[in-house]
Amino acid sequence: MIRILNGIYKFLCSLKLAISVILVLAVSLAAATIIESIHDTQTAQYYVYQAGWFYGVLFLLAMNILVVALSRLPWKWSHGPFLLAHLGILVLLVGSWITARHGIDGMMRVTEGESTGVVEIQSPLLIVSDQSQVKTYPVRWVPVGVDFKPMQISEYDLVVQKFITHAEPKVSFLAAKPTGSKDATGFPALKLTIKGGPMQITQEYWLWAGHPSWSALQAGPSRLALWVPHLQTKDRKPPPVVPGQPTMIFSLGTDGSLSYSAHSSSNEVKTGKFAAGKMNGQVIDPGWRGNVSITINEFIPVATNDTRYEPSSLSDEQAPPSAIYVTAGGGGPDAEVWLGMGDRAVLNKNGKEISVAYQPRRVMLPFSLKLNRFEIQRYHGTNDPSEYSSQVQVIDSSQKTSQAPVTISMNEPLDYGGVTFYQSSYEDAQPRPITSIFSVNRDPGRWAKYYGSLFLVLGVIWLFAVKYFRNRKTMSQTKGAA
Amino acid sequence: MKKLLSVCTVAAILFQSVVFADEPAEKAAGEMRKGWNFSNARLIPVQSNGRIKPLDTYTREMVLFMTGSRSFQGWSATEFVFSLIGHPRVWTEKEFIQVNREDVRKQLGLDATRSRFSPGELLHKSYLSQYVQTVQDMSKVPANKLPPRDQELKRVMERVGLFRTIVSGDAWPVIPVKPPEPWMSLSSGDKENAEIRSHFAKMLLAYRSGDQAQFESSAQLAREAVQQAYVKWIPDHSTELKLEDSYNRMHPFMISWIFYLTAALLWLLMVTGATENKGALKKMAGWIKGGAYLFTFVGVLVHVYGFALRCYVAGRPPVSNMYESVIWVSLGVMIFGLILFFMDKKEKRQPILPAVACSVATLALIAADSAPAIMDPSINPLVPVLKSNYWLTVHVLTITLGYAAFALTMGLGNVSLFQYLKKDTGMGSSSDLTARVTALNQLTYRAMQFGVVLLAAGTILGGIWADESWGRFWGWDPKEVWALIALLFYLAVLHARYAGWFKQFGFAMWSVLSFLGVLMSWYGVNFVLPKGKHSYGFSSGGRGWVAFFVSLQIAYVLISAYYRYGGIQGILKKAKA
Repeated sequence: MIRILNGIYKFLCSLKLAISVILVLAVSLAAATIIESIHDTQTAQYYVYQAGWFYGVLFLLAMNILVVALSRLPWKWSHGPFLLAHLGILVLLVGSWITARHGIDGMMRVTEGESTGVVEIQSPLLIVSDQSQVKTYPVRWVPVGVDFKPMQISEYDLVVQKFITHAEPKVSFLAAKPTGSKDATGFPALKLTIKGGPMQITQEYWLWAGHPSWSALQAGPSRLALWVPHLQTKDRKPPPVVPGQPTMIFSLGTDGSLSYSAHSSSNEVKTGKFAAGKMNGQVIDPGWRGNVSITINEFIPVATNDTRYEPSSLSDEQAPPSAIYVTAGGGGPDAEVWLGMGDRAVLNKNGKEISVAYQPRRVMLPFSLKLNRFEIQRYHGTNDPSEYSSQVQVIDSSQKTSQAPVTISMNEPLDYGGVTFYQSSYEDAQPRPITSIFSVNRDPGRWAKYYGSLFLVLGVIWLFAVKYFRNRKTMSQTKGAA
Repeated sequence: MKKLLSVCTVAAILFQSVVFADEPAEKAAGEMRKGWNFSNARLIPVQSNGRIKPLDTYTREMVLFMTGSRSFQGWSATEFVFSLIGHPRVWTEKEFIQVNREDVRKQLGLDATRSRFSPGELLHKSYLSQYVQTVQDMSKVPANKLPPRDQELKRVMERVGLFRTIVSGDAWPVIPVKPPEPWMSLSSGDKENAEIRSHFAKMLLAYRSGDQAQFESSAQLAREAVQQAYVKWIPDHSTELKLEDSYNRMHPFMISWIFYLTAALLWLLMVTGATENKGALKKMAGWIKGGAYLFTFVGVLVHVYGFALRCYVAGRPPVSNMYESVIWVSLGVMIFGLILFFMDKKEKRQPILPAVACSVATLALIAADSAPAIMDPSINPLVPVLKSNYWLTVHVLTITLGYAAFALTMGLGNVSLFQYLKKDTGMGSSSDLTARVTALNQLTYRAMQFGVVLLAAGTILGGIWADESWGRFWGWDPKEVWALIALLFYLAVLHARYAGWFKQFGFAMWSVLSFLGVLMSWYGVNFVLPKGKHSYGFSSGGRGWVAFFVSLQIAYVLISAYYRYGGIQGILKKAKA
């Protein structure tokens, strides 16, 4: 027994172990960067940075340093530089571990005039709810090429059958089944082809009145919108026309006719109308620059969104996020669905409705951040941003007085309630961007990392200085002796 | 350079027929105007790539881009561009547009043996016109993700386009407007600043008719008119413009490498002991020593001066791209060489140290100087995250100083290997090998210590900066990770040396090999693995040269090991143990 312990002790305080761990770290980190360059950051994290064995190597390093340091007991002053430098590494490792366990590192997206307290963290979550409760289940992200083990959620009799790491949505709208079941409801959909423009592009677009993100969209420099006055509730206004921006608005009459108004960049308007059943195959000249023509391919009066996901051909940074395929009970009609990141759906299991949503993990802060204004400056004469900043206000109901507005800019973060907000990027838009993206961070291990760094650097300098002066001294001594 | 004009613009103007102004047959069309100095024209302010620069800088960038050469057939850049707009017909038939890759020449149906072609050939006698759509589609992909052949095809299109825009007046952004709108070119706009336009028209006429006095006076007026127009909105830049012009003409880093090269040769003379033997060299020993010191110091002074000038003109420390970091690292190599040299007592100073430092600095500066297409020497504005940040400057300068110390260890390690090789192959005397190598190793070890401290501190400072501006201390970003890997290599070497795993030969060998890690984190991450947050420094090109250097180093180490350990069996035996 003692021999075994002694063996472990010898192993842990050997220089051989130290050098081997250093080399193993160097090689695996190099491999990680290559994986990252071929695929993406998440894949590198899966295989190396967040993998159990990598934590093991780091733990071995920490143990090695600790045991070596303890083996020098009782410590003398001459051990000082060695101890300080290696203590620095230990403290750094501890700090990183605290951050990994208890830190928050996410993103927050706010549009001017709105406020939010939601921080999104890059790990996918399945949210399931029925009438009585809401439950969340983390979905294990796996890189391309690794089999996804179907995930059973027995409480709801749900199974996450498939996982696509980078999923490309294949959107289509299908005519709703005319069967009289209670949700044979749908909304009008319009499939268009736009040809021409400055780049001579041919592109297809779907407009669908069922959801705001489908009823109006950006198509290159122009906007397209489908407006069904009799479907809208009172508070929804007709789609706006920005002066100077080419905009095409289709509106559906109660008689089933489709009329359009095309606004050009010089604010000229062309209008027209097609009678019910006469719109398919019609070609419209909206009078825009670049010989643009708009063809109506298909009009579906009552359509439902039928989105499927397929693996994307991309697997790098530009690749789309993941998607899952969920079934309820044994599956079947209305009991199986594809969910892309951010999608939600209702599954029907033996007449019981379960709603499922797939989204990044979200953390609610105890306060929210309101974006008053996003400002961007560009280098003169170019489109390259030179600086951008967000004027924000913290809204904290636990405080009696309201907070003064502050500006968050590059390198000037906002600290509030132990959380730090950094200006990270923005969503580009015309005529100016109004959505700011913050990186939001709570790092309880920060102090350890800073102290560790300080110890490490001071220790190394001390170590080398001692060596240099000792060397000088012995050299002059040998000289004196000679 | 890539932002000189967008591909859309190129396609729009490329194949429409431009009607040239009626151009009478002039005797000196397309020839240099002898004795003209363009001293006023050079200083006319233009706005390009987000900053105000002298016409000289702007035209140099254009000439480099079109011809691939810093000074095309001895033309001054400013005159060349005036000649293009003055005599477009002549230039349409002259071969000055470079097509770099043989496969692209073949693709375009051009003579594969030439590297420069006339715009006329490219437009009318090649397949270039068939690729307009292809090139337009490429503009959706970031340039460094395109295969090299497509990149070059795109650049050829842009080069021809640039010629057309110079001729049409579009590539002359000299008419100031209120920021942030871009300045207008000579051909755009109508009523505003008719004055500037008329001065340019006079300059052009004077250039064509060969009237130097008229050209100079119009250039002076144009320069003043542009200046008066822009000071309405932005601060006066005339001092910066003059300094930038002098920076352009002085070419300080070329001067310093010439001095370093001379100094290196003189130091080497002292190393070989030639000055101690009998003969003419012995008599000149004092002169050689004095000269070595003098050339080294003048080289450093010019280097520092050029560096300071560049900082002033750019309004920031030069830390943003490969070119700037090579300039800084070579200065760092000199500084460390001199520090280590003077750290020893006078009688113990080793001339090999400045010899190695001067050689490494010379090689680095020549590389930076001769590959403008890979290491872009133009001064460009910073991306937002790099702006106005104290930590950034400290972090980058510290890390790159660490690279400098390691570059010195690499140089010194190579010299040690050379000493072994000389003995092991029986080509040199082996009398004082141990003493020499011991001294060299001591220097290598010290330089490595500097490097480790600086790289560790710099990486940590990078963490502090990242914490301040991105919100995390460490994010496994490739550039961070490779700096750490390089550091780990050196830490392994230092620990192994401490453990006595290798003797002096092993230490020399590994101090050379570890530099490959530095090379990866310095060059490789930006040029080979372009991913991650340090993307502002990304570029492409030069892989062949770096691969050549890396294989040369590895081959050199292997050959030394082969002789030292007595053949391949010896190496394998050593590797097993």
